[in-house]
Amino acid sequence: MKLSHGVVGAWAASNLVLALVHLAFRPRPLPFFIYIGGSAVVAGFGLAVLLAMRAGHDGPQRRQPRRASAAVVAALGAAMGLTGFAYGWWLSVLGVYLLGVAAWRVRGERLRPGARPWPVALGDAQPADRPALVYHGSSIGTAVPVPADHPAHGPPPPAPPAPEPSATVRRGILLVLLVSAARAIVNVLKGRR
Amino acid sequence: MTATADRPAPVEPVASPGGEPGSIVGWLASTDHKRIGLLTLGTALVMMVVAGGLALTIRTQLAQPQLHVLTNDRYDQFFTIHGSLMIYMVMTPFAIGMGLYLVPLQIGAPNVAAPRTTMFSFWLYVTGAVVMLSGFFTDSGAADHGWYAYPPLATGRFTPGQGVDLWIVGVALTGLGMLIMAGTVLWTALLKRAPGVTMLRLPVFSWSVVASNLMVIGAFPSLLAAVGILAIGRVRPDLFTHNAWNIGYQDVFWFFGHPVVYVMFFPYVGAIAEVIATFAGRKFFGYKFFVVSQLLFAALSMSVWGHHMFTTGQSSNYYFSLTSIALVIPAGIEYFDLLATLVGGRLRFPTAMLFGLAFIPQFLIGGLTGIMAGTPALDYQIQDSYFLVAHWHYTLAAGSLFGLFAAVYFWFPKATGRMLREGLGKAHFWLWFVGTNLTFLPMFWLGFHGMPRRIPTYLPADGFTTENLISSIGAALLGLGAMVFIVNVAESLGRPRYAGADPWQGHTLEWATSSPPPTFNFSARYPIPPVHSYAPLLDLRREREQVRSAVE
Amino acid sequence: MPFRNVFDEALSVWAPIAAAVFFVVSVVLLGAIALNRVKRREKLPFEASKNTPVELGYVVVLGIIVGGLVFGSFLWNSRLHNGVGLAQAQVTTPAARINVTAYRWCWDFNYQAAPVHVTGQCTVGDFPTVVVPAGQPVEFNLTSDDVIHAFWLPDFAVKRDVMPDHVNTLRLVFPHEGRWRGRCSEFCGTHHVTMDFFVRVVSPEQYQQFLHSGGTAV
Ligand code: HEM
Ligand SMILES: [Cu+2]
Ligand SMILES: [Cu+2]
Repeated sequence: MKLSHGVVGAWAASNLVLALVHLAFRPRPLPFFIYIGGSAVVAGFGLAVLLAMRAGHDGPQRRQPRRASAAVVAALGAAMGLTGFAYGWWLSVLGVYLLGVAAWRVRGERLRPGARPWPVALGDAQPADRPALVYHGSSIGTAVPVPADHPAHGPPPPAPPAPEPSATVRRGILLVLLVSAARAIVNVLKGRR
Repeated sequence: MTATADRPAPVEPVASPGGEPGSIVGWLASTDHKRIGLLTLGTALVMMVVAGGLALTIRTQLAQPQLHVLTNDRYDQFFTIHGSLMIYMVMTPFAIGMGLYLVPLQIGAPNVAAPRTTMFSFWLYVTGAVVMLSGFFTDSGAADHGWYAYPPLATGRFTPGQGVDLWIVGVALTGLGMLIMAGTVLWTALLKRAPGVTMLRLPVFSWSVVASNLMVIGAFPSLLAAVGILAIGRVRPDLFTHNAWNIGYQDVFWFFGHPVVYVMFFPYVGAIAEVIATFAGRKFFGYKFFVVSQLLFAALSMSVWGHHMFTTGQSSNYYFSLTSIALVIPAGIEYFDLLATLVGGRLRFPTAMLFGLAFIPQFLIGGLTGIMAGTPALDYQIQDSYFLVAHWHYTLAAGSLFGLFAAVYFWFPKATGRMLREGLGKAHFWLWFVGTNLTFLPMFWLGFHGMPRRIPTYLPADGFTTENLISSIGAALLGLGAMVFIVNVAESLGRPRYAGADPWQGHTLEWATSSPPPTFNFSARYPIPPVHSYAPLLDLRREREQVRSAVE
Repeated sequence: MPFRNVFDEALSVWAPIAAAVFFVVSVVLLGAIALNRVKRREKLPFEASKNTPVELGYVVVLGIIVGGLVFGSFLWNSRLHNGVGLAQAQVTTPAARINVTAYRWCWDFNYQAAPVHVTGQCTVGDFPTVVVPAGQPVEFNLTSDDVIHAFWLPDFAVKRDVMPDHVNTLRLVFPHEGRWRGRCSEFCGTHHVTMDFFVRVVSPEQYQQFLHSGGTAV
């Protein structure tokens, strides 16, 4: 059952309903619009889920990055950049350098597309009495392929989605609906104030 | 190295990238969700020790009237950082980190989606915590405006000094980190499930993470906006001479601030649901009701933030009272399902179960007093009094924290391959059970008798002495219990007793793989079993029993 | 209606409900444990993992309870006029109107009817005492010079935030003569703890005398 985006969408919609109920209690505009905004952010996330699913990005991920050093450096850069707020902006400038380093490090952290399009398991990925030895990070280099009939492979990759000719039209209708709903809300608010 | 005939051999170098597997770099720059998860959980536990130490100091100062262990300003810093750490750096990251560790295992995924982004978020969290704590080393001391930093108090005009700046930066970093981490985990749960694991076969815990992380997505941007406004106000304090910005800040903050208390609740309830179902030996009762009620709970809890503003005279008190009280419905369903799972089960009582059972009445006290706080006529008295301090500590310390420890005792064997000692665990439990109630129950009376929160001391004539003394004694028991826990962890790691793959006869997929699980969670030796429900291992066990009895 | 009465009424409705809920849950919980102890090994756990009609019925019950609680909450809040206390109409002309200004870290009370001004240092022996007539409506207009404070009279179960650039109104009737303590309950910085004041309730005659004497003799 493909509930995923449905869950997010329904959830965002129920928030929208709760936000609209607030209207009956004559809220100040700010709290009302905060809630609308929060629901919109969630709806955006749901839309992203939907699009990812359409694009066939669901199911277990097979291609894995092997290390995250760029992420570490980037986070340190971001932290330095923001800490400049307390200690002066020169610190932020230093942070930018770190972001540069991160951008440079990020190359080659992930396997090339197609290099390993099937799940892999480490050769000694076994339970062991010494847990420290079991861990091998995501170091894919020492991996061996999993046998072809193993369930970890999952089903064959889904076929690319069929093109949907009417998508633009539908989006257009949606846009019109959203705009008119927004105007209605604004009107209601104006009327009440 | 062997390769199947129709596929080319791996082209990558054999050396393991990112340093030796067990090395520091192998951990700190890992892309394995289990490692990132454990780092997050470990950091949160360390922060809990710090925050707990601050709380014990506070309780020492309050044990008797007119003690001066701390100056007023230090005291203010201590409760501010205690609250800020507990909320931003302990309970929230632990909740989201549990999801990060467990959700991929429970859904049969090899890893979290976007592991590097997830590691990025972990580092934002750690640096945020460090930055916030570094405030103690500035001349002005750490932030001392309370965990929600109301302007104009938190502006440069009334609270100058870098402590507040560092607090803002720390909260922004951690808030962003938690937002991202919750996003990747939610993405994983929604899109990266193994074949056969449909949404309606997600384990209860994973569902609680889904609901919780939805709230994070909706609410945490608001936190970033709030600290952004505050940062502007630090530079231009005149902003907050206008009421619109003061009251506006409160709305923006609490739009995050209320949902986050449920983010600090859901995953722990989810964990307790798993613990109780496992140790009752039966499927969790009322799965669909529980799932729907969690989603409803999450949605409703986005709409209740104004109950923190009843006394401002500038909020829709009726609306927020309505939504707050309506929370009774989903909460009632959850309680029903938890209890219904217990009744008629064949119960076992390891430490995890004890924490899970104590959670039920203790959180209930927090919940019932919460409805009082959601009733404006009552809130006009109890808001900002010790009654409220008691209320939220019953939800968070007596509730969620007990869930946290239930989860730790339950999944520690899975994560490390070693069992925690049951004897020490039970000592920990009883110390905490007694200590928690001694500490927080008297605070209800203090609140009714007019003790405001956030006061560094009181007079003998106030008549608060007895209750405060009892409370401080309870806090000492909590400290002792925490020490027992630390000893337990050290003992279990130092002199291991190994756990098998499934020491508790668990119900969900993480118990089908080794302890600790291999890099990509499931391997040829530990494949994903068939999944036909939200308790696949229980199904397998039942099938095996049936086959066996048919043969006999 | 006075805040205290509404508070007591709400509490007297709510406390038994809360106690009953707590009792039921505890009994079920302890019962399940006790039952399990008695029967220990003989039985297998229940197989049933759902019971939709029972749960639906339970949801209905919950809905009714929530309806009742919300009704009560609305009713009580409307009796307090959303936290203001008395309605505008209930405040007749000879009522005391007092402008209250909070600042770090004490209070100013200015009477509108006469040039009377009460303040203090908020240190031991120097807390401001605001004098009000018994049995008559009193209106406080609360505002702040700097940060957010809160005007709390614990004995009367009333609290209202005191915000800069905003006036919050509070209308009360003090039924008896006497002296009560008020406190700041919204954290406002270093001396938040000592930001107390006293409300002295006197007979209307004494109150008039107080006003005429410019705020000294009572
Ligand atoms: C377990 C032992 C704990 C003890 C002994 C303890 C004790 C205290 C005390 C004495 C205060 C100061 C109250 C005041 O002066 O107004 C406080 C405040 C607070 N605590 Fe705890 N606490 C504990 C755990 C927790 C936990 C688990 C949380 C969860 C998030 C938490 C969150 C808070 C918050 C948010 C504040 C308010 C800080 C503020 O006023 O800005 N505490 N605690
Ligand atoms: Cu809240
Ligand atoms: Cu104050």
